[in-house]
Amino acid sequence: MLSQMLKSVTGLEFYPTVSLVLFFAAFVFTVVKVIRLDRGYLKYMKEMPLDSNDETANSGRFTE
Amino acid sequence: MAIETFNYDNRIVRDFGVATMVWGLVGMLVGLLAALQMFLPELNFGIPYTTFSRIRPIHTNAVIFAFVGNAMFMAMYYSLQRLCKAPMFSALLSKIHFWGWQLIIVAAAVTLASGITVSKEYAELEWPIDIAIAIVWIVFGINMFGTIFKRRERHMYVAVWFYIATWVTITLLHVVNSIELPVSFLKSYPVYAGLQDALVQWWYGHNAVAFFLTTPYLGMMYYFLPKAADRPIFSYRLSIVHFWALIFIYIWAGPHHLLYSSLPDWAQSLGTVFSIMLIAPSWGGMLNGLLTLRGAWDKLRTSYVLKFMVVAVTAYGMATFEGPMLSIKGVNALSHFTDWTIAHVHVGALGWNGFLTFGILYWLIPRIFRTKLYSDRMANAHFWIGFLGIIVYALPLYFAGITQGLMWKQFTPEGFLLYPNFLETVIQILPMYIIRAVGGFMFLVGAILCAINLFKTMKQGELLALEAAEAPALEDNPDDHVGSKEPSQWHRWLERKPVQFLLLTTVAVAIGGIIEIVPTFIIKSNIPTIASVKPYTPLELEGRDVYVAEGCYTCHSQMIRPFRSETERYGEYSKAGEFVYDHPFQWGSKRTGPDLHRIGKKYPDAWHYSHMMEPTSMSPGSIMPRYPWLAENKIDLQLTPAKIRAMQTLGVPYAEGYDQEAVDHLLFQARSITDGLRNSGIELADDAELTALIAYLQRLGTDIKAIPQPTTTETAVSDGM
Ligand code: HEC
Repeated sequence: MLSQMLKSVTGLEFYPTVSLVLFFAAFVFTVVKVIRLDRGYLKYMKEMPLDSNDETANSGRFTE
Repeated sequence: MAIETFNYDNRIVRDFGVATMVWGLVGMLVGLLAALQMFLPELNFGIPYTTFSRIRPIHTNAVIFAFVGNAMFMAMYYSLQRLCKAPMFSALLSKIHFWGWQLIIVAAAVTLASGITVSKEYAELEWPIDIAIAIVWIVFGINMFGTIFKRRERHMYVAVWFYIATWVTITLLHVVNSIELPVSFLKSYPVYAGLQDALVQWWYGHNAVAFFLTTPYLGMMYYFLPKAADRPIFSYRLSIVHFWALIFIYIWAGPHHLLYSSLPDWAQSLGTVFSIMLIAPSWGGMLNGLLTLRGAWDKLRTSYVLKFMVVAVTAYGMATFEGPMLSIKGVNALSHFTDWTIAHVHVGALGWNGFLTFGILYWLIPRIFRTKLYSDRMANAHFWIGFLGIIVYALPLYFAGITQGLMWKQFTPEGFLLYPNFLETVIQILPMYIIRAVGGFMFLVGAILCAINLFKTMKQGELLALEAAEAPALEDNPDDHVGSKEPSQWHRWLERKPVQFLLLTTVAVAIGGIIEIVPTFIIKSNIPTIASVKPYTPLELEGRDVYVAEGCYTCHSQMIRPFRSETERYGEYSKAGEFVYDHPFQWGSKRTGPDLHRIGKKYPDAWHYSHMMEPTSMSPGSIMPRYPWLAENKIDLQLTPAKIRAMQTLGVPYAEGYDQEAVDHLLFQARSITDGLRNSGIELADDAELTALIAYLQRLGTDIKAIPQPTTTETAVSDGM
């Protein structure tokens, strides 16, 4: 009975396929763009948490 | 170049930090009490408020929304200000956010203890609290985006994207899953029913794990792990891919909570496929975290902060490997409804969320209090007792889950269930429950050490409430031109524009959300109606509300899966069409007791009466709590007509004007039950909650027994074991 019901839900079988295609497209797009990012920018971003000028952070006083 | 000076607000960070510890201890203590009741049900002290089925939701809500929630706000308020080089947008909004959230937590604890609940897991709170949550959440959002808009740093670091994704998605999830029709100030019915309600709920439940327990914590990992290790994250490229892949995929995986249920097969498969794909971004994130320490592993020996963080990230890796595995149907057939799931979530909760929180607290509190940690030795002791606690907690539950799962499915050579008495499979694993409680206790002891240590640290130091900082105004910021001069690289562009970023994130999660939700509504019109399935009588409806209020779903499922081992034990497997009047659904997620979907007419009323008063009288050795108060408490007949009308609004086909006859019908049916009980020498009031509950239990799953079984071409699936 459950399977009859599934068959009656027409027009949804393509859902999983659509989902995968969508994901794949978005994924490839991101990867390509990310590979093409330049190094200077990446280095800048990477160091962002470390170079804040706040007093409390990274002051050698608090090394454990 | 104009250098601007401003102050970071550390007070709000401290406030959320203190709240984290306080609620953390409360949540864990309640968890320990629940764990003890699994083998000593008397530890409910004989009162409703502390009974397992009410404190289990208190425990889950406390650790998720109070402990993890406050911790994530603490970390966000600290890191966001610094990453944006700007103070919080509004100190007033910060305060409203803080106190609003604490009030919600108190309201949640009080209502849940009083049995005021919608019974949808991790979304149990009633509608007025749901509205309060939405308001406070929006206040938080305004404060966050206001800060981002006023930033002095052109680019948004990856942690900030995770915070944005968290905010957007939780808003979406909370609103969609909480649509309820109020009946009174503290009672409402979800607008969805049965299968549809289940699908919406687990879309929510799964993504609450994703966007409340995972994405904010990943953002925190990307900020605090480099800080603690004093080295940048391993790969920024990887973090971008990690982010987009994770938020895009996570939202689809919800149906893996409903494998083998009455959910259509294609939706189940979708859940499985996307769950397995989730391994990739999850492990990408884990590796990005761990590899940050490459070449610096020696720091682990001296830094307890890093020790906590490394265990946290490793636990994240383990849990995100196990999750997809549990989504494979063959594994799920065994693991679902058992303690395996509980073990799995605790690797995540204790390891990932717990340990990352502790690591950050140990790093952060001494800094904003401008002092050293009170005791390094205590912190190390905390690490080891907590770490062992996780292992002593999880291992016995894995063992218990697999043992019980196998016992449920075992047949004798003659083809009968080897353990037809469910209770036998419970008693078998009681020793594991005892060891688990020891593990939980150890983890709690560690957390207490942490609280003392941090408290002493705060006392010996002094809060730097306003921390002076300076940065160039955004317009003149030369960093703007960092890297190549090429004007618009896609992701750089995006990072500079919070609004575009917000929109794109919304699109990414909405695609998955819509694709998952739309079928739910198509399903509604496609659920084959079973002619013999009728709306509940008023008495049964009241009884159902008692079942919901007491939280019976925390131990009992109402979903018989199509396996021979289940149809033998419980009867015909559950059909989607049987739940069309169930607002909310009560499928449950854990079988500490047997499934109840076909309990109707299995026992006489008097059996239920005696069993609810004293379960061991009917089932010697039972760990089900006693519910004697149900015989004393009266149902509120004033509310019955309103409940009928609410159900009519939701599409339940009661005849026009039935609300006016409902109470008479209710009392009539109640009398037939109490008269019967009287014949067995039992006195029970017509309007006692227990009378209604018995009526409900006796109705459960009987509608399709009334007719000859629909000729089905499907036979129950074999157990795959
Ligand atoms: C702590 C977990 C727990 C909670 C909470 C709980 N039960 Fe149970 N229940 C059990 C266990 C274990 C059994 C099996 C042993 C027995 O019959 O008592 C059981 C058995 C039952 C049975 C008999 C099932 C059968 O087929 O023999 C019924 C009916 C029942 N419970 C109803 C309820 C109701 C109604 C509530 C809520 C008011 C509730 N239970 C709450 C654990 C629980």
